[in-house]
Amino acid sequence: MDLPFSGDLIAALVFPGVLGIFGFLVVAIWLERKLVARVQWRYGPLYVSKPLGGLLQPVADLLKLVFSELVLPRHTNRLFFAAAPILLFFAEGLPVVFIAAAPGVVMAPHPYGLAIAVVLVLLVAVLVVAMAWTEADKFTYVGAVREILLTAAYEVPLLLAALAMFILYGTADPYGVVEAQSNLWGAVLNPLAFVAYLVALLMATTRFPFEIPEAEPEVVLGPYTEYGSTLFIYAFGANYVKLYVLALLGSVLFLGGWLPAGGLAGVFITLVKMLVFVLPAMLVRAIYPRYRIDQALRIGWGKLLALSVAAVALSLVWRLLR
Amino acid sequence: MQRTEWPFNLEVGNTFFVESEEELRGGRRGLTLVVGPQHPGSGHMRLFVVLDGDMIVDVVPDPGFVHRGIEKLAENRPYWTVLPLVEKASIMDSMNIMYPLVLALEKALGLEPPPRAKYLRTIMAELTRIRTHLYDMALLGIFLGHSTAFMWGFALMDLYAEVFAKITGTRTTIAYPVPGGVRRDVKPEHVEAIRRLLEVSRRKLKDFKTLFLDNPVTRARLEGVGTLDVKRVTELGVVGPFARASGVDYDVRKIHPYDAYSEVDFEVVTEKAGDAWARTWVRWREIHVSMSIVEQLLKNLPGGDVIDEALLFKNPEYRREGVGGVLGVYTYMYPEPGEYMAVTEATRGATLVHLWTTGTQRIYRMRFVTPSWRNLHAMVEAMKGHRLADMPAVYMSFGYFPPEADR
Amino acid sequence: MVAILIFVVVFLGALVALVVVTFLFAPRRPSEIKERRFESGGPPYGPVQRRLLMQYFGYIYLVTVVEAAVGLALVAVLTAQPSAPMLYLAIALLLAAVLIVVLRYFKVLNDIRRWS
Repeated sequence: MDLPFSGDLIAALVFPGVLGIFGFLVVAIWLERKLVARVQWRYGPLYVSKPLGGLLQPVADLLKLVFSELVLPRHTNRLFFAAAPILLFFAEGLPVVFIAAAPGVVMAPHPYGLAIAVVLVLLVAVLVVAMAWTEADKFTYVGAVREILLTAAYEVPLLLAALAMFILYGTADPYGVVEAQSNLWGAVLNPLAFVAYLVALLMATTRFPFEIPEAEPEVVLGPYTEYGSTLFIYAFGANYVKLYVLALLGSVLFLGGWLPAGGLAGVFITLVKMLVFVLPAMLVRAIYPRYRIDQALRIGWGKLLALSVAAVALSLVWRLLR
Repeated sequence: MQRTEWPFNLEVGNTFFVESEEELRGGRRGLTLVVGPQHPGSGHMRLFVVLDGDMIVDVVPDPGFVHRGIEKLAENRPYWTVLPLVEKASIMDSMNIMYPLVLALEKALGLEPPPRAKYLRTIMAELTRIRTHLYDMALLGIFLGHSTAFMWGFALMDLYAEVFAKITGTRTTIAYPVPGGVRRDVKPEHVEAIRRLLEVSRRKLKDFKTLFLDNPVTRARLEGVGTLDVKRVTELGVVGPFARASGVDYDVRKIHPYDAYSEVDFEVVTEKAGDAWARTWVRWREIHVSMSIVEQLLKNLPGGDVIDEALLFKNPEYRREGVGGVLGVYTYMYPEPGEYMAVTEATRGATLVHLWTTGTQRIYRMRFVTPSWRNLHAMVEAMKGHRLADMPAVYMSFGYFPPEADR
Repeated sequence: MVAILIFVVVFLGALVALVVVTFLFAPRRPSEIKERRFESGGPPYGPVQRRLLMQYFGYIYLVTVVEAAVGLALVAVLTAQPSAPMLYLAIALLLAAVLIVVLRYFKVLNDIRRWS
């Protein structure tokens, strides 16, 4: 091992662990605002740290939120009200335990690691609904129901896209998956699964054409309506953590992870590859309005399902040819 | 808190919206969503939306949050100070919304603007029409979640504000027309500025259309939503582009041409479908019609004064002096006693001003009917039976502007 | 294993610590209005939890079945011998069945009148 520290410790604390998650929160919010501003004839954040292009603006915002009053509404169960967003944020970050960012840089190497990560990602929707339910507000209620329905729309395609890749590689071990892509990336071998995964990612992180549970003109902020202060950071930031996890998972599943490097360089390559998933997710905000929930369901169970089934079929064909 | 305080008398039998689950037809259960006033999708109003699952069963509007009593205020002040007051009803549409009052006052005072003033007023009316349509499009964009349409729409509106500032001295509430003329004459560079403005907007609007109106998601959100057919639209008394979107071929500019409208060649834009998309598309086409009207008027812009000769009896220099001098002249003029009425086509529909004057400089009574108020009922009717997500789409497809409705 | 423990402790610890910071240092001026339920600026009105969005119930029904089947396929693929043509045939048949069912009932699923 050519790493200064033991790899799993780096994975836990730096990348893809704690520091990576919080750092991504700051950078992603900044990047999103900057990119979208570019499209919209604006500059985006510039007031805080002008030389850095306003990079510290999200930090300032987060600090401001940390030091603003913590209101726990009386009609809710206050303990659950405070605990729900913490658990949600934590649970969104949990799948990184099983995903490797570079050889050795993984907290828990496991032969079915990526499959477990996928399942963990899908489980989190339960917590969003629980959070919305705890808030006990009409808007969070509608938001929670929409979250359930949106989950129903993307779960099967996401699972099928993962299934297609697992059939193709014959394993769910992060090392095995990356090794199988040493000649050709998964995105090239099975572009259908890649596209299906990308769309499912947009749905799972409620990015723009599917930003339905927190549609502002109808349900204010959806499941996060009642929150303020630090709890709002968690409730609102949880989606960014999910984006982080799914981008990391996607770069390992489809883009060959840390290849062609290893060690510390591999970590940086993984980071760059994550941009392939993160940038589209940021830019769709500038391009698309949002669908209605019924349209999202129709897409999920229509075109997206067909696409992901075709992806599995393609993988089966590849597998039988080999 | 007393249960009778809010929102209405909640005693049994006195509610006008669904209170309990059993009240819905067929024993369906409902959730009353209170949308507004502190809600990102309501504007300055409140909507009680009764939901059955995701379907809107009933909508009860509660307007009046920005009621300023413009009609009552107008009774207590000299008639020349009513002009900027009326304008505030709809600041984006400032020229069009005060147009009928100016026309009515002209009838009362026996003034006739010179041809150049008529042309200039019509040009400004069409420019504010474009700006208001852009404003409504931008808000439709953000209501559907398209922030780029919102930003681009507002950026384009700012170009119009800049040109208005050059010509009239103010960006938004331009108060350009006065009885018997306009406040300021345009200079050649202003004409050039308007030409350039139209050229730039044409170019930018093409991008706007590509990204927003041609967007498959936008189309999916608007098509077939909030449909009102011709019969329903006429029953509900809808005016303006929203009636024309259902096939009502009525435009005050064509039927009762005022000022320079009789001298330009333009089509009345109509659509058949009557859904949210048709209402959006009609307004989009109207932007282009307005541009062609402005261009025609600029080409034939006559020379001469911009103030009626009758206003120059105190001092002939007033024709050049601008607003201060002319407004001073009004203090010597008294409207003839009687009733005067004028209707114009504002951006969101026909606007009516009905004046009762008794011979003093104070107006006895002013009736002021604005298009948003006429369209409110139809908007609410169009929402019923659709999904909750269609509520903002229908709302902004009617370009509903609460300050304009509440007056 | 230690790494997971460190991750969980540090991550959860950081999250809780920030809330504690807020709790200790953020100003607190409680009022009745702040603690009310959000109702667009009005006082809370009417019960919250009501009828679920039944119009889309068909999808939920579908997802419970299909997801379980796909999960089963996932497990089978990951635990099977390296090359098992019979398994692949089974997966193909399963997905074909799912497609046929969804295609057959797609209109019904989207028809909200049937579900309300």
